[in-house]
Amino acid sequence: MEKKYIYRCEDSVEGILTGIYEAWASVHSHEENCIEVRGAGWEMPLLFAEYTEVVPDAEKSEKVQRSIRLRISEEAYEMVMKAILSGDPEKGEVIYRFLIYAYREGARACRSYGNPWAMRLFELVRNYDNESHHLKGFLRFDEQENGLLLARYAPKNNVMGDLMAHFSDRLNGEDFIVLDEKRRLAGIHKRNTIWFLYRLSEEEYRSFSEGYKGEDSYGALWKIFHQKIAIAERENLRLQRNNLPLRFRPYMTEFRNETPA
Amino acid sequence: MSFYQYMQKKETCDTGKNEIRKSNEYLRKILTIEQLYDKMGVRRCWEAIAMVLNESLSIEQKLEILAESAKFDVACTSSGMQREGKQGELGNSIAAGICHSFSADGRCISLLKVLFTNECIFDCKYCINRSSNDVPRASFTPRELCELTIGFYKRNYIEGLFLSSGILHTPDYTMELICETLRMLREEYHFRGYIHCKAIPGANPMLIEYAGWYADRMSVNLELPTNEGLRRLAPNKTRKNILGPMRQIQNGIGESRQLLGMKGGNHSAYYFTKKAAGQAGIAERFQKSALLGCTEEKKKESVLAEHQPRKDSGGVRIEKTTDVVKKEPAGGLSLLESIGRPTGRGFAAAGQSTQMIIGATPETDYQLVSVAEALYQKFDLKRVFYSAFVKVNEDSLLPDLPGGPPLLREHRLYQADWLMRYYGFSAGELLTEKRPNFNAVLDPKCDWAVHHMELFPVEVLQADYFLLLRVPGIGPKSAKRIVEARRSGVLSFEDLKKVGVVLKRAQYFITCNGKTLGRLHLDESYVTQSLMLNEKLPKNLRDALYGRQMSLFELAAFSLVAG
Repeated sequence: MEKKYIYRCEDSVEGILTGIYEAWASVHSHEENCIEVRGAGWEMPLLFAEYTEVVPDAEKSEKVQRSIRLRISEEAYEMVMKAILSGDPEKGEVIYRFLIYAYREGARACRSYGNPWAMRLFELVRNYDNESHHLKGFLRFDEQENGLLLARYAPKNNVMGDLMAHFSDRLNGEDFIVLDEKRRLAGIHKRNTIWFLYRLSEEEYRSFSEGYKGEDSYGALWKIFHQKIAIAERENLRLQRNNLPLRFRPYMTEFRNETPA
Repeated sequence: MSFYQYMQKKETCDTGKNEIRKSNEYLRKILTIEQLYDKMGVRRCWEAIAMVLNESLSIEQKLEILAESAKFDVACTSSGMQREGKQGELGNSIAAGICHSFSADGRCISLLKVLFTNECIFDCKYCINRSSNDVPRASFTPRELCELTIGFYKRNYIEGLFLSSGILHTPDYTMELICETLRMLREEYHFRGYIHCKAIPGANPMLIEYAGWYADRMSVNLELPTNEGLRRLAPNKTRKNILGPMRQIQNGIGESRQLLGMKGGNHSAYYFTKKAAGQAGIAERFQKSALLGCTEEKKKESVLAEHQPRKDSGGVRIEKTTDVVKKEPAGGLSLLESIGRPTGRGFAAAGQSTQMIIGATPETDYQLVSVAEALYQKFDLKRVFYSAFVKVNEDSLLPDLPGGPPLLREHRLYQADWLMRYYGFSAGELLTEKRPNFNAVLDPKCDWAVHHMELFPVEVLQADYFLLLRVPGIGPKSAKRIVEARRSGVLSFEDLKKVGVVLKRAQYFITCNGKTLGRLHLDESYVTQSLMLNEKLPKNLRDALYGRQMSLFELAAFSLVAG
């Protein structure tokens, strides 16, 4: 059996792109290399493997980014960046294989749905985009003290950047925080200024959760509206579930205090 | 100030509220309920009580009544407007539209869809709020509605407001209240989110123009597809009162586009599809040969606006729009007058839409799609919505629907609507006077394709975009991806599946790189049967159609008879 060289990277832009840089620079062929993202829940099931723990390196990551933009296309760059934020456990490997193909094919690689890796990348990006679009609608803010708005969620893909860009434009005059409970990542927007991301420590996260006030008076009004707007003669819970998957509902005001279906 | 504090404070600058309060005080002072009863008879008395009650209604109760009353309005979309946020203002708008939730009937909730009031002087037979019904009545005040909209918007419950209304006192009075709400929302609350507003039929064109400068989308409900139906079921509404404002809004959008460029509003999807299809020569030829014996001349004739009273079509009469517009010189805006208007958003720049009730009157599907096509052509509408009739009133003029609302029919109409707006189909291709109703089991596109087997198979790697769109199982997204992907290589059936082609339908109509998936058997009845066996209708539609679940065998047997 052929020996594999596995590069284990941190789940971040720097981590994954450094991993790809290291794999590329190694003496082994692409077929022998393999990119694995730590904590993503996927491992190459191999007996004969040599592991390299990749140390994230800003400079190497920067080099990979620059070369993707110059030698492939801006579109490919955007797709790769989204794929890095994807929740797919195989994403490291998909990006690596796609880049091998795309450096050969050039800009058109992004739409070469006939290539399995280009297709996989396309699927990751589509999944990311869909979830991001969904959450722009499904995210719910509750008003806390001093008018601060707080939203909690736990997405499959890390779509925080998209959401913060969207909501900081929309609610530019509000203080708000979006909290990713899965990644303990907070997006913080200060009214009329900038937004930034902050990774909470375990302790900070706990105190944060304890401070959460629950829904405000508008929540009750929204529940009334949500219930009254449905036409009983057309009830179709299956269609509702297709359009609004159950995984989003625990965080949505109108579905709170509902027994799970 | 919190919402509830506000409720206690009762602002005075609010015309609607003052109006209601004044009449309430009047009633409290002067008359007892019994005296009212004597004076006005039962109904008026009830109204008077409702007025008094209305004042004491909490915002929860009002929302309950006025959301419930609005639920049959279909068009809860927030699309067609791209507007960035701005410092000092609240909100933005995304062209694609955003769904914020889905109700138990599976329909999207995007906007706060409420009536301003469900008090109504009209007595439309199909409507829960008709004046002869004994239902709880309520009215918002403009300020209450603004507070509600802003409160919901900040919490990301909604994309904006969808404001419709019953007719309180007079159409003008109602339209004024709507205008005041919109003005307040835009100018006092600096709201930049989406607003969809109904034009009240019969209201002064000045008021409709006023609303248009504040709203993103406007709509006038056609309600019933024929004048005859309107006369029977909505005796207070006339075709003229509906098409007049519709034309005015269309002209207004056109002028605003000239005045402000693209910010002033865009054409409809129907317009762009037709334009693109016109440029693609192959598709054009294809389409011409495909017209089901429907000449251009005949097509024009069947169109709503120029609908002549035709003796041969069961006495259905639609009056000429051109007459209506001539009689109604209020078309559009005056460019001079629009100076000093709040033109920053354009005039109803997200376009206009309308809706029709399906199944309350005896039109055929062919008439319905023809009316929709005419609306797209003559009024440049963004959308026509179809609403399966739900019988909420007992009335001898209304049909009985033992199988529940005609959901399957509504579904087929939406499918046909998409085919017209995005695929370049015309109404005459989908149905004809001889074949006036949709196939219950096959969707309109499959149905069209099996009647045109001579045009297939289509070679996926060579056919142009609009030709690909004619293949069942290929839609705009997958067609676009095929065109892109084949530039850099050959595609397999597996790849087609991955870009979104539904092979279980497409397989009977395509070759891919000269190959077929299984044996290609270009025979109408064979393909029809195969498609029917594959077709799986959503469960609720299946039940609506057959009253119970049908086995595959029965389905096939049924389809042979029906087909």
